[in-house]
Amino acid sequence: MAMDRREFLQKAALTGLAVFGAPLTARAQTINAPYDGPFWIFVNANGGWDPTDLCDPKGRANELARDPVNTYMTSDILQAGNITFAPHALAPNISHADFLAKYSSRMMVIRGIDLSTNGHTEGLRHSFSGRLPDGNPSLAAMIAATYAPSLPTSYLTAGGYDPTMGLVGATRIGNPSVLQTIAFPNQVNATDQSMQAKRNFQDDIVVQRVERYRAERWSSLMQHQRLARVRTSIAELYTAGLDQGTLKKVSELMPNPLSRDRFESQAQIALAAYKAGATISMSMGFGSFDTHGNHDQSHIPQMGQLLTKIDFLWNEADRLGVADRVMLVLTSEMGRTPSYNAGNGKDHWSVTSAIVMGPGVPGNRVIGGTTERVAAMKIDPDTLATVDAKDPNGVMLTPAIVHDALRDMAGVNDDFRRQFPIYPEKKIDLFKA
Amino acid sequence: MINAQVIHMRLSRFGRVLVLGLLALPLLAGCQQKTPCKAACSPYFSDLELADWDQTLRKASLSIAGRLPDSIERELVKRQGQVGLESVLDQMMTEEPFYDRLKEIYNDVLLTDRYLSDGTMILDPERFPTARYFEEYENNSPDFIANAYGANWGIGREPLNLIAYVVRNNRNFGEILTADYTLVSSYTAQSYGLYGYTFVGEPFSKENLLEARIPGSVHVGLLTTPSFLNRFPTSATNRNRHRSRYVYKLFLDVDVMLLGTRPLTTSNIDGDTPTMNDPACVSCHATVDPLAGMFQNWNDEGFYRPPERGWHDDMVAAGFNGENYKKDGQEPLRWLAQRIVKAPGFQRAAVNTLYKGLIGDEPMGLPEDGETPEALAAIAAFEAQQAVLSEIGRNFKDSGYNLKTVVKGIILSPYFRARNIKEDAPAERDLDYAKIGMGRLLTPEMLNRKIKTVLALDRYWGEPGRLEPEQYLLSEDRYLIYYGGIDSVSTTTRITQPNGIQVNVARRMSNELACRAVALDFSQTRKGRALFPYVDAGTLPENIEDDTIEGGANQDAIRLNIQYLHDRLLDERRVIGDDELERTFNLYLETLRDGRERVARGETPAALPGDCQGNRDHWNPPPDGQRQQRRSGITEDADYNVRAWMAVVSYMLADYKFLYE
Repeated sequence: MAMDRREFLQKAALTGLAVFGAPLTARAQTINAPYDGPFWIFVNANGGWDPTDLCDPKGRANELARDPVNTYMTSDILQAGNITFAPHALAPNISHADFLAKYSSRMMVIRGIDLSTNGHTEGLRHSFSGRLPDGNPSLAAMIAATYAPSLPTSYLTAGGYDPTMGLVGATRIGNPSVLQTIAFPNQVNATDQSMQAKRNFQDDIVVQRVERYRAERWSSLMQHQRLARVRTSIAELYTAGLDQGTLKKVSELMPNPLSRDRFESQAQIALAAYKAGATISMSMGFGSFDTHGNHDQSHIPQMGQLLTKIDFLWNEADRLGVADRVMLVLTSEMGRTPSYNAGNGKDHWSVTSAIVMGPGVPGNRVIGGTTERVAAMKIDPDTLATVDAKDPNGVMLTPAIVHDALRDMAGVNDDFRRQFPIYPEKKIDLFKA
Repeated sequence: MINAQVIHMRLSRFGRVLVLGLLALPLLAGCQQKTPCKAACSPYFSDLELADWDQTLRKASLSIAGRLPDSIERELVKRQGQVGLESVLDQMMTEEPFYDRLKEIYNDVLLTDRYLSDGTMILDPERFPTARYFEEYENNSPDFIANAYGANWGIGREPLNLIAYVVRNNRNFGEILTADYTLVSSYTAQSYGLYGYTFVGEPFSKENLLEARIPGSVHVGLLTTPSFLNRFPTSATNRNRHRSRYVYKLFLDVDVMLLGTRPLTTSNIDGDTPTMNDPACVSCHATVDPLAGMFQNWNDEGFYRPPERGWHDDMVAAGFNGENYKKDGQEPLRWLAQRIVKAPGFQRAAVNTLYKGLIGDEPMGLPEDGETPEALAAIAAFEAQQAVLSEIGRNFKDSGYNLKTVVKGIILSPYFRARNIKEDAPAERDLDYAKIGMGRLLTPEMLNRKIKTVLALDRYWGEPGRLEPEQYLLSEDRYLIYYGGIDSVSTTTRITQPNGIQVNVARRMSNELACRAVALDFSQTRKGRALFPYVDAGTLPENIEDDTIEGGANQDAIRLNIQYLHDRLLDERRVIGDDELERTFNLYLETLRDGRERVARGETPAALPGDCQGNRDHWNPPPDGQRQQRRSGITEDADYNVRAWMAVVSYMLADYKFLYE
């Protein structure tokens, strides 16, 4: 009577079904393989950050400098090893100096990424999928789909760019305090896990039996169904419901109480989910960087908060013992103009930067660059050094080139790469040692 | 609790007969006509197994009215087929839940519900000093709470209320953009400083709305509502281009981001005014900027502030579709709206928005060229769908742009009704129909309504609350976001593929509601039951221990009830003896036998779990400080029969056919 997931998937595969865009036979082969790769976290600075206030500092030469890119002095720019940072420090956030000192050895900065657009939606899509036109999934979704699309929370999302294009089901993180009621769906009061408080709606043995019968029924429905949309839906629902035990483990690994801050609690849940083996990747967003007016007053504190959140994330990863397996990609949907506008704000700019940290990423490294007026510079594809704009071998750094290298590093499934091409001008190993 | 709904249905039966009878009168006179059907009835769809009219009625009823059809409606459809169905749909589209659904569909694209909790904050404080009039009440007093809620909610809902109002009154749908009035409730009237309006009926209902013209204000449909202008904001440098882009997208079915020459790079932008001179920029801005200029009188906060020095002369001149706006005293936005509603894209946008809302998918995109079977099938599928949507659009136009014709057109189409491919259809048809068919994961809102109506509950799945009951599937503090819903603020797109969390939410719902509803249903008289009209809590199959169990009146009744549950909960019309009915019967029987043995061995109590007992009314708790009044109801289950039925109900509530439509 009982049908496990392998049996269900094999039966479904016999009927030629493809689930989440991937051939089901391939999924059936990999579905039970535990994932031991890194946890990929993609963070978007919402609204378009100004890299010159973080990892691509410009400053101004003196008080009299006309039309400066920034209001801080060039002479105050911070440096740790090869990496320079804007000199901001606003309590209670971690200062840029402290952040740089703590993380520069693990940090790779990519400057001068040409997004080719000034639009929020388009820039977001380009930054996190590697392609400007609509239709590509986030890289985070592709990674989750490559390794374990059937995990209960394979791909978590809490903002940022998260379309999956059918590769994997995305899981949103809502109110963290009800996660336990979700993890224990048969318990009346799931937030109290003491034996005294344990009351079930139904006997556990009955719930298990119901699940068995349900799997049998859905398998039967699939066999009598020819419409691909319906068959895919049944299979998606079934595979999404696997691995109940893992969700319970996630709830056990979550700190109690969770942080009251939304970003922080989402990070806590995500890291616990990764530690429990339930999650491969995550998309997040933070802040409100779209500062068309009063840029310095709004943007710089936001930048400090962003670094504070990233610091929290690494501390939490440390606490769970997974810091050496977390891969962080921090970037934004666009940059901001080199000039202040009439309202002391900064408008949209199509050049941005990214910070990448994690296993296999050479730290203390800067790739790419921008001119004094924040125009993207070309790089030599072999040496990775910036070159003159007229250098015939020079290549402009684009999201496609960055994503191509990230796809290589993540080992994204070749079928998915073909299905969702990104057309880099040249293949460049940005992460070579 | 269950009785209440049944009684309500009975009390209203006469009225419904009367209404439907009147609806059917034109049929007798030969006046009622079917919606014309050429493209949707083309041979291309001939190998699809479509839902019959009764099944279509059920699905449509759940979708647009949030309830199951009653027996009178089913009878009408049974007798008159499509014509009867259209009559019932016409009736359903007069019911309030239809307008709730319509607002949901349009909020998915407008996202103006973002302002439901703080709508008065976006009113122009100079022009509307009474915007937050409720602050005169003592903070957190009942008057403060009621007025703050009503006023904020009303301002936030202004655009969606206008859409519902236009449709409710069968007006030309273009009025959503051209209306020279806005809608106010007794609360928002005070925020706008309007007095002297008489609200017939319940004056303090936030749904009781009147047309109003605010002195000194310009009203151009939903385009000038504070919610719309703030949801699609602009800035000094953006110059209404963002608003322009979304007007194109929402009301003209044009994605201007696809018009431009891309990629755009910082190094190839030349000249002082690239948006007017650089070819890379002009391709987009020649379209975007003229329409942006039509919003010139509204500033970045959505306040009416005509520019003192005129509109920017370093932008392409204000206008639309190649026609320049001439300053002849007419409000530019009104000039624009009058042209938009006559453009073919306006009709297309309305059809596509409702298609997405009712089907769950966007209409198919333009397929890529190719000669592979997949590519050819995709092209054929696209063309067939375009033909159907165009036909619906033509009917929409012929009706004088009554949006209800679009709703009906989509419901009658194969995209709403396809259940399978006919058994004898050639295999290549599988490719043709790859994107057609049921299989839409219900939104939290749709599932919420379905649970209530199918289980005939007084309340939605949730908890009693101090002010009003909490509805788990609609609460951001509970499952709204986890179940893939939106908050219109930071989460603005729905999840349409289920994940492990959603499945667990569904499982919790199925376990909890089976627990709470089964004994309660058995505790009613048979006529009052929604789930068990053919069996009682004491109806046991004869010879329970006999493995070759067959025959017997009780078994027939149990099978009949299982057949009924498959119909009511899963929309499956199956005959006795069908494999699925037998599977459910086996689940019931296996659970019953095993449970009886465990009770006999003392491993599980003979009493039902406290939360599942029929004398509890979970949804109607006593007022604070009072003890729950125990009612008569089933509390014991020594035979494990009630719990076996709980297993059956929970099996169905988390089933694919319950969670999807």
